[in-house]
Amino acid sequence: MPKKGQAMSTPMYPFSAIVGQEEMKLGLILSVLSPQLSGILIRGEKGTAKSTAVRALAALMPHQIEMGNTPFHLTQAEYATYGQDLGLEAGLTPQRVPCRVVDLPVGSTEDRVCGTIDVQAAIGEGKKQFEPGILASAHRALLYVDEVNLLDDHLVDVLLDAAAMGMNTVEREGISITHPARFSLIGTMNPEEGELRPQLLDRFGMCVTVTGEQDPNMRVEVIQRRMAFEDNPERFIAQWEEADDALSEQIADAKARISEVVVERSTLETIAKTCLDANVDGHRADLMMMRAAIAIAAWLGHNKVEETDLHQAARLVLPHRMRRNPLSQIH
Amino acid sequence: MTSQTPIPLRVADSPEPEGFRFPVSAMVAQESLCLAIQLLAVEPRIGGLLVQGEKGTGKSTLIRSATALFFDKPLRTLPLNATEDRLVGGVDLGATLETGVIHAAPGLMAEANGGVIYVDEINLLGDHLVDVLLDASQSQMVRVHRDGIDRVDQARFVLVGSMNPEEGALRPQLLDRFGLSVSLTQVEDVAQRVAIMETQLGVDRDPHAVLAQFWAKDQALRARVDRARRLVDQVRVPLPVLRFIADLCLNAHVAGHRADVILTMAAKAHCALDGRWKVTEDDCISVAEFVLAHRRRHIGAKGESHPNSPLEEGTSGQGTDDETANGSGDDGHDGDEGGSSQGQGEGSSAQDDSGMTGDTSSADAQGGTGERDTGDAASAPSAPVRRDDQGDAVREEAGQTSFLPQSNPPASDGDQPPEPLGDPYRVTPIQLRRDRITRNQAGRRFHSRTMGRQGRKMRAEPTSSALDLSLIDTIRAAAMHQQARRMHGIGRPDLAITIQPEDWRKALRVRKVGSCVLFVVDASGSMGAKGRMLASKGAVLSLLLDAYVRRDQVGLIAFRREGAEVLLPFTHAIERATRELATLPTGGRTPLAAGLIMAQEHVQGAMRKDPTLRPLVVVVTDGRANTLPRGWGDPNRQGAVTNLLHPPNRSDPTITPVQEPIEGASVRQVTLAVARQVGQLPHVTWVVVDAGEHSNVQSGRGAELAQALGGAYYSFTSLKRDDLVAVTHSQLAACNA
Repeated sequence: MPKKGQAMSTPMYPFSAIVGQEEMKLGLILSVLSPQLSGILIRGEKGTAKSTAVRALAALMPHQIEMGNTPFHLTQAEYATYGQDLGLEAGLTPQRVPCRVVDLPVGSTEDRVCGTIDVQAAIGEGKKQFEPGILASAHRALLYVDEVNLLDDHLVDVLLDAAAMGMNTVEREGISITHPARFSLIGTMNPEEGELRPQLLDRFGMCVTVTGEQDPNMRVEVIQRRMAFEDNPERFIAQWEEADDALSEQIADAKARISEVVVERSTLETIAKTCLDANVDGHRADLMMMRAAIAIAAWLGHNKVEETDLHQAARLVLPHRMRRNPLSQIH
Repeated sequence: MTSQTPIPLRVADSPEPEGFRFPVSAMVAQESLCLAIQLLAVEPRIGGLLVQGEKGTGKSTLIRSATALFFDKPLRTLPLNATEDRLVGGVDLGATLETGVIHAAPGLMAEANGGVIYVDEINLLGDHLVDVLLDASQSQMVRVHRDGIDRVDQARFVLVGSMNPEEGALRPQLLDRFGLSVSLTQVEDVAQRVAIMETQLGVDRDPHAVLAQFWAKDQALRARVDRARRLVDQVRVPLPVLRFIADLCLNAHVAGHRADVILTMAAKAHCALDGRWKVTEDDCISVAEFVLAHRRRHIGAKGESHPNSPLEEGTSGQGTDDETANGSGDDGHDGDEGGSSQGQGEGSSAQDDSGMTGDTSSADAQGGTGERDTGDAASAPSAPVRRDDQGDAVREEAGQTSFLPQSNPPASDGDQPPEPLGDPYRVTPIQLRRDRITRNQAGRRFHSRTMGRQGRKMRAEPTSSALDLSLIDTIRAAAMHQQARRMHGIGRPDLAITIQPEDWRKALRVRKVGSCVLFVVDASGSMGAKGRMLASKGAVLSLLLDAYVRRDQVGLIAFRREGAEVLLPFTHAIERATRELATLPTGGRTPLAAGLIMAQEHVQGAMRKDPTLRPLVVVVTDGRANTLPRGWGDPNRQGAVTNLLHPPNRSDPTITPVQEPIEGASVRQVTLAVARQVGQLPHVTWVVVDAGEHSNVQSGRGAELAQALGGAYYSFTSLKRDDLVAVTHSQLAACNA
């Protein structure tokens, strides 16, 4: 079973060693804290540590419980419901495994993403067998799409389908199968290469824009750390291990606290008014802003959602949802 | 490296336990959709339901919950990427291989007999699947006649589709097939929005508690539906009520009689839900909108379609109207107006939207919104307003558009108010020839081989990859070797058929694919004269309709004053293009060259993403270029011009950059030089639609431009006529050769 994101053989740049880019780092951590935020879109030029940050995040992921060692990563309840239909053996036991970051390469084929009939098994052994795809591994994980704006339209449809249902349904080549596929979508894009379809854009709970550091001192710091990493990755990683561990612990703590964060009704009213004011489509913005504010509060150790948490949440949740006024300016 | 503290299971575990369905009675402000699904459950012969709504209005959540509650058979989801053989039925692989005799397997439609098939984003479903669905929902049968199978299954299913009209409209034939339609809009009431958030927070944190809380209410709803099911056959419709139904339908100018029949069924179901035996006029009124909304036709004074519903005209050959497209377009418009009037109503000193004006960099705008959302949502934004001085340089980042809202700039001097959209007419299709490139997108512009697994099978060919095998062709290829293989003991004795890699066949499929059409519209002052803009908008609108039917992507670039702007990057949402077009003001000089350069940029960007693209660029102008991109020829501003002609990060070896302007060259000469340059772009077809009036078109500026671009030339009159086909055909044939 491929476990992408954790079985990386190449050394990974530590998350806590990334200079600046605070908003992106916060957004990524929030995605881990609250899967219901359904992920983050990172917009920015090349070379702004987008991919580095996402890959580094994998090392900080908390653990979760899944049943057995299967390609479907089911919870106990899901195993009871789907186990048999998916051909999983009975009597699997719960296991503690790290959460995962799963890659979706832009050039993937549809059957690689959705899963397909295992033709070799069919022809060789006369068995009708489902070969799970990326969506199966992405269940309860972070699904990482680099250059998400270059994703083919039909793959976007597949992703939207799965994201909307929390399920992947395959009806093709004589296979009829449904398995859970709930994931947080992490996308990066360079806006110069084209924009994202609004429907897909809306699926990302949060959006941040990253730019290169403008402060010369910071830039020097970036160079120094990168060089240190390139020269001796093992030593560099060892230097930052403590910081990464602390961060990881902090994430686990915040995750444990998140369901205790109090949200006052007046806070929800502020959210509703803000979203109405921002002229966003539908209700997803309200829900996402609420979830983001809660996650931020948990992350910062607040007992209830405070006004500053709301501000931060709005910055992450609203800008990419605001409707473009058709009466735009012509130069 | 990770924490050793055990994480409580309920947090790390899935937020929504399996089998969780959002309680129907917990949904806020979705009563109409809930009622529509109940009507279907009581009277499945109504045939189907189309749910339209913006993203994030809870369409699919409620549909899945409500069908699960009210129907006995579980909902079947038809994924957009389903194959035709799964939908219709095909070969039962296991049984066929074991026995060596072809066994049929029922398709999804037969399996859903008596239940519900749900298609999310139904407007994006491939045509070949739509046709099959339509056929079966009409005949209530599914007939499989392929791959050596010939069988008929019963397929009485309720078709529920949901869609976001922003992503493109639905084919009118399919629209009419849906008995009912519901449009979901977002709730504007703060208290209700808070209620939605509170419910969702409850589900996020403890779904079981929410289920328990609403269980009794949901069961009561179900009981009501069950009672109505028993009752519905006994419900009577008095004659005066039937008359009333007929009147309702007549007033809505529906086509045919389907609406009358469905309205009667729906009214009966409504009456049964209420526990009565006699349908009243109120029953009819309660359900009329579900039945009529997507069938209503506007008959204007001239006996024509509603003027501001462009999509309806172009697709109305079937006698049905695309009312939904119209409605949603209006909705969007209303929403926008609502936004701006709100800002004024609050009496804030700055215009509400102005925080987002001017600079389009998202980073700045994000800062702006951050400040906007402070506790007092009504307060005016404190973000600094950076308004570009009007007529500032052409966008340096060609092809980049704002992804944040911009406010309408105050009409500055020289601007004329936007011309209304002209009346659309039918253009005869501009067709691109089929070529041998295998493509991946959907649409109807031209036939193409496709590497996707959609489309109709054309033939099978040998393959070395075991993915996407056409099983029947593979078996056919293996058949002739069976005896020999058995004699030589090749293969497993327990299987009836031995298949070797050399037998593998894959299906080569054909489907129509869309192209992309970029409109480059002259919005300069001269276009305002003599109704040229009106005619131009009419022409573009007509071409947009054509693009819509063909599932093309469209983009819109306008140029005026000192430069050009991408109003709409390539998108399938034709409605948005129509909206942009309607509000396009005219005024200022004519920077034709800037428009051409931006078109080149934009098209190149799209082709980088998909190299198989064969874009069509339609330039609508009177050809009277009278200004160059800002800074052209000015030694101090050379940077800007160089930037424009050799934009950063844009190195395409196939394009030789335009030479720096010759000293003293006229605007016209430079513009034509630019045109010759961009005309060299490979695989791009240029078309010039001349907005000017010339006694001799061949000598006009438009013709000159077309010649420089190496493209076809049309006047407005030739665009309307059928001779367009002939001209373009030869033109495109030449391009593709």
